[in-house]
Amino acid sequence: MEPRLEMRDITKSFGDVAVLRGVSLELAPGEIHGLVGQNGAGKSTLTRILAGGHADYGGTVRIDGSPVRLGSPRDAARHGIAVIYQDFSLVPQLSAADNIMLGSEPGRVTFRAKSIRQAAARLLDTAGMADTIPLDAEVRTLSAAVRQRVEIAKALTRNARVLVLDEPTARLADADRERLFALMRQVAARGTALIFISHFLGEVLDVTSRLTVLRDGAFTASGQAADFGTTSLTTAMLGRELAAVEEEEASDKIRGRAAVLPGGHPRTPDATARTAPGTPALLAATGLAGGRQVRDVSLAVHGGEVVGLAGLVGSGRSTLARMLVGATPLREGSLRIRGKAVRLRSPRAALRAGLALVPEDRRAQGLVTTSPASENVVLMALAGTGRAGIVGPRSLRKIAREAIATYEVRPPDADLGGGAFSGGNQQKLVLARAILANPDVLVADQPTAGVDVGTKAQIHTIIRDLAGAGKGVLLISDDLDELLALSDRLLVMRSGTVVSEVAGTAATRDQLVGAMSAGTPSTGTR
Amino acid sequence: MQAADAVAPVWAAWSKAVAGNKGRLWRYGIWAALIVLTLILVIVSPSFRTPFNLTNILQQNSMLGIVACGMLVMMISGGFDLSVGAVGATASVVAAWASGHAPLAAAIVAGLAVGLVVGAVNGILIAKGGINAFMTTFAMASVVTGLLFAGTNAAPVTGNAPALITLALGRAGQVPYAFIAYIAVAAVTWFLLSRTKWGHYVYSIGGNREASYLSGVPVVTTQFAAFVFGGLCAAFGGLLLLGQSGIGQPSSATDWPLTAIAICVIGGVPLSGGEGRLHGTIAATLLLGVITDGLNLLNVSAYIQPTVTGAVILIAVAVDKISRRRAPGR
Repeated sequence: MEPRLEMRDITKSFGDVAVLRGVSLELAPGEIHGLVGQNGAGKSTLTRILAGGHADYGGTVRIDGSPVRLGSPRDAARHGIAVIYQDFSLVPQLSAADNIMLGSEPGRVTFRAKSIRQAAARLLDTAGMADTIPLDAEVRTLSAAVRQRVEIAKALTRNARVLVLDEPTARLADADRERLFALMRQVAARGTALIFISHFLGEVLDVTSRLTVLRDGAFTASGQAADFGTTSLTTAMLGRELAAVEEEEASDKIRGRAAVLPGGHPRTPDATARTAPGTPALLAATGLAGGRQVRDVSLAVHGGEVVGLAGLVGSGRSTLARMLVGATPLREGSLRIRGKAVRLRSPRAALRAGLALVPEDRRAQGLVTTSPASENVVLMALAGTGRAGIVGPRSLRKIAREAIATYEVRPPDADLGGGAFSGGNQQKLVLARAILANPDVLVADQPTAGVDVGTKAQIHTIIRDLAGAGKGVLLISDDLDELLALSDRLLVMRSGTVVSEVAGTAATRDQLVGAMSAGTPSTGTR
Repeated sequence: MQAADAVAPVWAAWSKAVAGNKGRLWRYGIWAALIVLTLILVIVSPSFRTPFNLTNILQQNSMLGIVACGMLVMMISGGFDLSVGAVGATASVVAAWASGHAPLAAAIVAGLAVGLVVGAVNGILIAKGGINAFMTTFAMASVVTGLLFAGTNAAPVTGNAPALITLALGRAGQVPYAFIAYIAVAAVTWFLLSRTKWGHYVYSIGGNREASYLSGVPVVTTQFAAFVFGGLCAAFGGLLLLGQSGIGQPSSATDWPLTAIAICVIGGVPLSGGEGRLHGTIAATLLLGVITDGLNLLNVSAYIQPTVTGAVILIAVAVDKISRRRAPGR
């Protein structure tokens, strides 16, 4: 059988930098093909070539045997290629139906909203997605999971022969992931070939039938998904074993730690860096309420500990994080820092009091994508010092360069715009920025979302390192294994409040899942 | 009894609309402001409530209303145009000059051609060249104004266009022709925005240009056409300007760009684009007209009038911001 999609010796450079160096890929009709690799390995570039976004690529692409040239998004669409991006490419102000039909509205010149809606509804019907999307709602009012369904429906209107999903699960709750996988299989069963890109290697192995591994813009391995395990996959991605990477990191940066716990991360021995009993917590919150649903939250973060915060999407974790740093006002409750009552009216006030936030969405809330990395990195440190706005550009650049070296940001170019870095490196910049402000307590909201395993290990080390230096960290994550591996204590939030607390060493995955979802069927979808 | 029967379905439809749109009624807040203000003035000022004065307001604001229709389209597409005043003044001068040398139809075409050409150049630079709308149209306004002053030595040009004078100042019964022209332009704008694919794309590129591009929307052509349309509206405004005085005045219309942008913003169009409704722009045009007229009739000093107008704009924008915050889903 002719392959549905065949890419042969694809190359692409930006200036002198070769990003793709002869990558080949073959997909049969109805196949779900995994594409994995570290941040910056070239997955996004390959995706963009398929979408018609890089006209100047080298190599050949064939669809159903006939060679095609992907010079523009229109070309890609004409040849039946559809790409669903990590940051959704929908028009927020338009309705779901408008978005599904965007660019392929019925009619030549005139159109009617009603006919668009009917066409969209018909399409959902034939795709077996009827009633899964509120067609009249503006996209900006929809949850991430529903937006994603809108994107998939949009791809199906174009009779996609090849559908590329770029990290579709990065921000989904478990139930929504399962729905997505079911939908993917359904689409594949109609003969569409799917490329599935994800950093969650477990799900890649589960969902795909074959996979391709990229490293530094070159193809390193491919084969049946069944022949790989997470370990062999990781080794193929990194070019060495993950354990070796972690060890290296650990010996580089962490000293004087004895206990190495099951997650592979050394925890602070109780007696040393941890706050001595009797001294007040670095951060103590009592009876906090605010936002749409956070209520009666009390918690404490001591020096030298990582406190994990688990919960489903929508449980109020991010709102709580924003409340702690003064970005969302408190309706009730009080905060103490080192035992002293404080009122934080803004993130700036929080910084001065020693609290820094690593926000959830690094593109929208984290980086100033248009400013160079150096300015991004020192941004919080500036706001925190209150140096009356007088800053020496030289000393700033020096600080920035050091941070970029310490946190191994790639490429190590302080002058590059924040938006030009790959996802994982952007995350490191955001993290470096918060740490440079020298906070007592770091509130990190999903610091490893959409980040590859290597970078993830580095970020984990950075976080444990902070605790080792006597700081406190409040870590919010969807990744339960990450929480279990890093946290000294774990809090579980449900419907806006903390419902349980367990010691990090004693907790199990099942216990957490139980606490997160108890009594709230179908949370996370809407 | 029969009256009640007739009202019942209307009432039911209205309540349903209200119930289904809780929090969306703010979209009509600007109409409420217009109606309340008009009623107040009708009550307190006898000279305001004369039919002649009321229709006069319609007549005087039609010109800016037409310019604002063009601005609306450009703003929804994610841009705006600071050269509409220069285009208006130039169109009036060019048409005045042409009307002395050629048939009226040719003069009108010449005036509109000014808008077409300037709008097209703006459109190419912004949509194709990717230069931001502020710099492009700010510079374009300078270029055009300079040429205009050099070409006329800054002197007014007397026209010979009785038909334009009739259009600008005449009435069909009580209804000013200028207002009819405004309604016609508004109707065309409405049709283009809500009944053509082009109009749909104007919204989509303003909302998310990249997403539209990747979806196969012809983003460059769409935005280009938005600026051509805006230029044409400004030129049409210029023709009415010529009609009002009979002369083409190079130094006129300097307040058009910011006033037209303010009208659109008061009417609910964000500077970032992607949304905005024509009815809001119409209400905002009339609101500003009613305020100016009311202040004149109440003998408010001309010195303080800009302050009052400015305050009203601030209040309108603040109220809009607050009600958006309360609206569901953002």
